[in-house]
Formats: sequence, C-alpha cells, structure tokens
Amino acid sequence: MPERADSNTSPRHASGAQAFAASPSVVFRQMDDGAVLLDLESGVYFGLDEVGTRVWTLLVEQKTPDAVCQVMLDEFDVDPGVLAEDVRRLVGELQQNGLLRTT
Amino acid sequence: MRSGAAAWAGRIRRVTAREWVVLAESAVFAIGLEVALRLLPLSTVLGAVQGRHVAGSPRPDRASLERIARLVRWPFTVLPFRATCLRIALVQVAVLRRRRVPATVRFGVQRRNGHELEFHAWADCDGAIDDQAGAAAYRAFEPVTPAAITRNARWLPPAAPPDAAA
Repeated sequence: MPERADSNTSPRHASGAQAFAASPSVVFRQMDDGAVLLDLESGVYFGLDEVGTRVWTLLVEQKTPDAVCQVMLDEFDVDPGVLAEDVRRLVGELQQNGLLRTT
Repeated sequence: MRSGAAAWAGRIRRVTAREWVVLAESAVFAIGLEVALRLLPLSTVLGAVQGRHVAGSPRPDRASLERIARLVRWPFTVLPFRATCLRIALVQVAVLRRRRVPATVRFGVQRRNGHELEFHAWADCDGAIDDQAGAAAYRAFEPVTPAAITRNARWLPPAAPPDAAA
C-alpha cells in the first residue's frame, strides 16, 4: 500500500485570493489527531495534523487562502502574518503534490 | 491427517462448472490487473474496474457473493504475484461487476500501536465481502467533497476565555 510522501521541496506560490478544489483522485479520512489524504493517482498518502486538517477542510469548501486565514484567526490565537505564511506554504505543498487544484 | 494435496483435490472436486468460470475469469483479471497496475495510475485502473454499469440488476444473495469472493483468491495461490489486499479487492470487484453486482473497492486506514498508519483495501457491496482482514477495524476513506468533509470533520471550537464566563 502507499508510502508516506516526502515533500521537502519548496512549495509553489499560492495566491491568497485563488479558490481551490481537491483533486478528484484524492480521498480523505478524518482521524482522531488529524486526517489522512490518499492520492489514488500516485498511491501516496499524506498526513495532516489538526491545524492542517482545518486548513484543508476550509479550502475544499471553496474558500480562498485569504478566507481560510480570516476564519482561522477567529479560532486560533495566532499572529496574522505567521498564519498567512503557514497557510500559504501548506497550500503550495498540497498543490505541488497534486492534492489541490485551482478552480 | 489429510495431506495438503488431498485437501486441495477435495476442494476442486466440489467446484461447479459456474465456479470454474469464476476461477478462470479471476486468473485472467489477476494477470491483466497486474500488468495494468505496473503501467497505469491506480485511479485509472480503479475507474476501469468500477466503470461497468450495473444498476437495476438483481443481486445474488450474500452467501453467493462471499463464495465468489473466496474463489477469486484461489488463482493468487498459484500465480507469481503478491496477493495483496488491493489486488484481491480489484479482482473481486471486476468479477462481481461482470455479474452486475455493484461492488466497489474501498480503502481504509487505522492506527497501529497508537501511531503507525496501516492501510487496507477490500471489496464492498453494502458491507465488506470476504472480510478476512477485518475491514471494520479500518476507517474508510471518503471522496473529497465539501459535504463529506463537513460530515466527517470533528472540530472543537476554542474554549471561551475565562473572563467571557462572567
């Protein structure tokens, strides 16, 4: 079965106003401590922690990274700049690994 | 005590003509899928296996489904391929769909020893068929749609600050 993804390459730049959707080959499973994404195209799985799962959940609800940040600022005590950078980096990695695509 | 060969001979004598057809189909599918899995993405292979239209057909009873699913395993005992759960599930679904049974391949994941992720694939038709690996122990993956995410997501809102309770 699939092996864990090794995503140590630099992420693609993700525009904050761009909406995203999950790739059709990706399936999702919520776990107690996050979630697992399985890409049936490549057979590779990706783990998300709880915060990453929240970002993913909001993104596939057709929210833009900017909108994701707005929602998460209400939920987390976090510096807006740090949050925006973390969301941008995660979106870039998800895009780079073929899990997300622009709509 | 009966030898392994004698036990096999006994099992083979009980195979009906229809079941021989299932065995032959299973062997052909197993070989074809082995080649396909080496050349094509899994999603493409899944689409080909599950693409057959099966709606509106009468469904065999549960015992027949399980018998067919068990027969599908037999060729894997002689073919030089790894009999992984994914390969067996794909062939089971292919054979069942040829009989117009709306079976699908399901994928699941569970945590082993508290941290290590373990994956499993199985043929499903209103419940796992030929459930030798205990599919119920695995949490099945769902297609990613906003509705599915909303249904599955468990997210606790942040605790109210102490002064908010006053």
